[in-house]
Amino acid sequence: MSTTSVMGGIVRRKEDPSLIQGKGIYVDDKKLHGELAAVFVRSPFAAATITSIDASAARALEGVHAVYTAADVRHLGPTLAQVAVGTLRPLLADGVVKHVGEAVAMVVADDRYVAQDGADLVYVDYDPGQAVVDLKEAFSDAVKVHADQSNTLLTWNGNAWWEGVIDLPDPSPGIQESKLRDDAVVVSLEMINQRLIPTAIEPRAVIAHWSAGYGSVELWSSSQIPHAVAGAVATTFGIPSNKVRVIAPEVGGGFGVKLNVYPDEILTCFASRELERPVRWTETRREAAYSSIQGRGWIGTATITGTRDGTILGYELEAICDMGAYTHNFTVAIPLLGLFVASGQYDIPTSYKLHCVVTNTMTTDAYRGAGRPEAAYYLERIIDAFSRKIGMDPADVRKANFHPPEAFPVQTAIGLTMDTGNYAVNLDSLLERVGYEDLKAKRDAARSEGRLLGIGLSTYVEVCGFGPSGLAGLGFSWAGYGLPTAFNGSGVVRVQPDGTCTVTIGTGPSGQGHETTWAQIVSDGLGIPMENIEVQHGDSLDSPMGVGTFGSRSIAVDGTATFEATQRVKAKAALIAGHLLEAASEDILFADDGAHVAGSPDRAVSWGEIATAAYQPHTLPEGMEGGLEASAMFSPSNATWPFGSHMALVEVDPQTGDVDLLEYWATDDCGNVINPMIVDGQIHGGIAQGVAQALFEEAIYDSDGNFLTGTMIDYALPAAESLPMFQLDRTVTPTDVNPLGVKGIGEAGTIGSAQTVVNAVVDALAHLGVEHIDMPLRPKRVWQAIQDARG
Amino acid sequence: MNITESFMVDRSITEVWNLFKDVPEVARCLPGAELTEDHGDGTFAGALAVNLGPISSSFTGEATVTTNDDNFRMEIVGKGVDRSGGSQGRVTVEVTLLNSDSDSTDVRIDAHVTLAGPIAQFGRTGLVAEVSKRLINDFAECLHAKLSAVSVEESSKIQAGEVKGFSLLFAGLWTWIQNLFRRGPASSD
Repeated sequence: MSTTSVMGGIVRRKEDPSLIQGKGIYVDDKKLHGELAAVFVRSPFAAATITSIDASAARALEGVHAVYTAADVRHLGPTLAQVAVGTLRPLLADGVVKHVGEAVAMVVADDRYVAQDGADLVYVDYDPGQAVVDLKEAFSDAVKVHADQSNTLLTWNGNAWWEGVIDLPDPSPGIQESKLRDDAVVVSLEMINQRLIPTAIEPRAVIAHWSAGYGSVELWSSSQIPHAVAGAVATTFGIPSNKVRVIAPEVGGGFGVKLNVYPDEILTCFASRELERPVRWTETRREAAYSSIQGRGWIGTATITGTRDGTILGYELEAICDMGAYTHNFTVAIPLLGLFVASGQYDIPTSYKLHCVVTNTMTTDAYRGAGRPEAAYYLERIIDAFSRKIGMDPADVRKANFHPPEAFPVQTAIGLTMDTGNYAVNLDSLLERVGYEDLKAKRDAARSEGRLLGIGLSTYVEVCGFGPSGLAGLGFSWAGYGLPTAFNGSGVVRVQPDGTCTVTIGTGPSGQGHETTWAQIVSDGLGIPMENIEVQHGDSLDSPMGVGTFGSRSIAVDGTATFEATQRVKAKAALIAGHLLEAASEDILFADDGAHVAGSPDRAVSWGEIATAAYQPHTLPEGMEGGLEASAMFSPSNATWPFGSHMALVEVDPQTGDVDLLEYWATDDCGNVINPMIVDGQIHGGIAQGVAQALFEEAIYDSDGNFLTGTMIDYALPAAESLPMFQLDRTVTPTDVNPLGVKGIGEAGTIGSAQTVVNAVVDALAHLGVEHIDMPLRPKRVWQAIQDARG
Repeated sequence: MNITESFMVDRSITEVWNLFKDVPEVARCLPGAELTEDHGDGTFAGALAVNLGPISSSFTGEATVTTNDDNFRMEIVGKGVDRSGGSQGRVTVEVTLLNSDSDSTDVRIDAHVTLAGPIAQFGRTGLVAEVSKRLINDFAECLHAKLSAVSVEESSKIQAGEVKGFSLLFAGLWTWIQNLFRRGPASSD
């Protein structure tokens, strides 16, 4: 008997055997006859005028086919962006450069080595200007990044943008009045949420093939959003979208860095059209660090006004958010995503002011969590500081301010509606599993021996599963790329004539296990064994009209679409099986690679027999159309709102400042779970990236705008040995916005973890007088904080 | 990055000033520097080789020297490009001479160095800054020695030691390590 999965069961990932044997196909594995290679000449200056470009020596080099500069591509316009607030990135720097690493020229040659040699021969003369890197300096507008244009692109303060789309909340609901109360306690901290590099194992890579004969272009790109890239290519070149095919094959990690349209994707198409040869570009590790998007980069002040019984009367957040020099996909919308969850799990008046400010640095955009880890960090750090100030247990303060379960659906501070939540149950479950009281006793006992143990707690709310079609007007669409589709989910389920099944979906996974999870959904519905189901994705022409994989959206939206398509196929298959078995279709059950009549397992047909009948219409019931496939598009009524509680135990070495992360517990709630192993894997990776922000990673520009962390020697990624075993558990509070009850889990770990670790370290040092240390909490910084506190 | 060096020599301000105006002689004090052409109008072509561990840079470029006899001030504005490595450097050096007394002179050197490209991105440890400081420091020491020499002949023999990157690198590294263990607020980490 073949095995069929049941949703909710652990099923080993179908995609792993090919991936772990190195037999998956990535962009760099796709070889085309006659292909050329491109290398970019990039600016060494953060702010400069280009006074001349001399490419004559490069052009003269044997094997170089072309050197392109702004003059060649200016007519194509800038690199398109979805949320086009700010200055869009030129395809190649046009007269000025605004950050180190900006592409100035593209050299196309026989191979990559010749192209690099050619690039070294392109002489660009720069007249350097003053770079603006410091966020407060940028906010002051003393020096402009873009001439005659304020460095502040936009301030999210409750009256920007969404006017007329959702109800505007009171921007500061009674908080200032609360501060005047006699019993008011006000706690405020300025904190930095530092810049990070979203490091994927596979750097970005493209190969473009423009067919002069067909007037069409095929682009392979390591992208999370192949449909959007296709839209951008079509719009940029003024050709119909059905003349562009973008394929994202295996993608070796994304984390948001591949959720963008980049100049190289356009320029390789351009060069291929000009030279009538396929053109490839593969990113170097340094380019991955400084010329693909970075994430985070906020400096902000969080303030809580409350009373000594733990009641929070108001939460205020004002931050300057670093956009970098140019606007990419969502750039200014990333802080907005943070605002969506600014109040976290709490029923507290919330006021916010987020300034989106440009600097002479690489663009920031979505990095795993995208605004939500930043928001959770400020909120959960200041709640901890408030708890300490009033001498209450941080868990009790949190519980005192939770939205109760009966309050759902809950209206958030900025007027969105949270679907479902059961916060106190989730937190209590964590505290009980951890043995919170014993853990505190252990910490206190260690402290009396002079050891610095600390416990950190954080809760979080994520908003994901984008999204509702109604948000298209807020930028949740690909209209910026000439593809005016809302963030719908899509799926096509086809049973082949031999009874196997092909599923094509509109996502663009980069390691999330969609091939397995989606096969489980279909297998569960149809009873077709997992091994007979192929899931295909990432092809803008062959996949259904899709949106891509980002923002923890795939399962809630595209997963639901596949579920719906499965139900449609099942309904037709039941009619066919009923006809073949001479039974009523409503009595047909699907299991074990076939169908049988309820109560009579012997009256059965295989999927092969059902499919054969479907493709030989003369054997079907009178009037039934042949074939056995269905498509579905799903537009959810709301986003989904996963949540959870995380806890960490750390020990700080008072002599060296080294932080040892001893234990990490997480109790997450992402609604129903289809594959617990894959969900746990997503949480593992998310926590690792959050812990990495807390302890290790920091992208650094010096005051001249030089990028100092362009190698893995200078940019500290965590290794497995840096992390403890994560102890995971979950509560299950299904959403009511999709029939699967699933919410999404891709970013939750990242959103919950950085502040959990920082809270733990500060807890270990608070009795010495340490109130806050900015991330990353490397030994030197922690040691310094201990020294400073001791005076 | 700004680097300041100062020293005092037992020579009259005129003697010191005359040495500074002899640009080829001064250039010999800059480790790794080579003057290739004197355009005669205060502009010079030259090269500067620096080896920093894995990065070996050879900057070629131009420098413009302006002198003011009235107040014994000199400004050198240099710009160099390492065409093979893609690094660029700009430096402005201001030399100011002050009479201590009739027999001795205070020399003050203010350098503003802007580096871009791989050499500026080499490590976040402040190593490049330390090496730049070391360069200027050696420059000042060499000038000091030249100016202190008992005879012209002896003075002209003095020049910067050949820059094998290693000595610079280790000197820079040593300063950096010392800074690391200095108590008090860190300048960078």
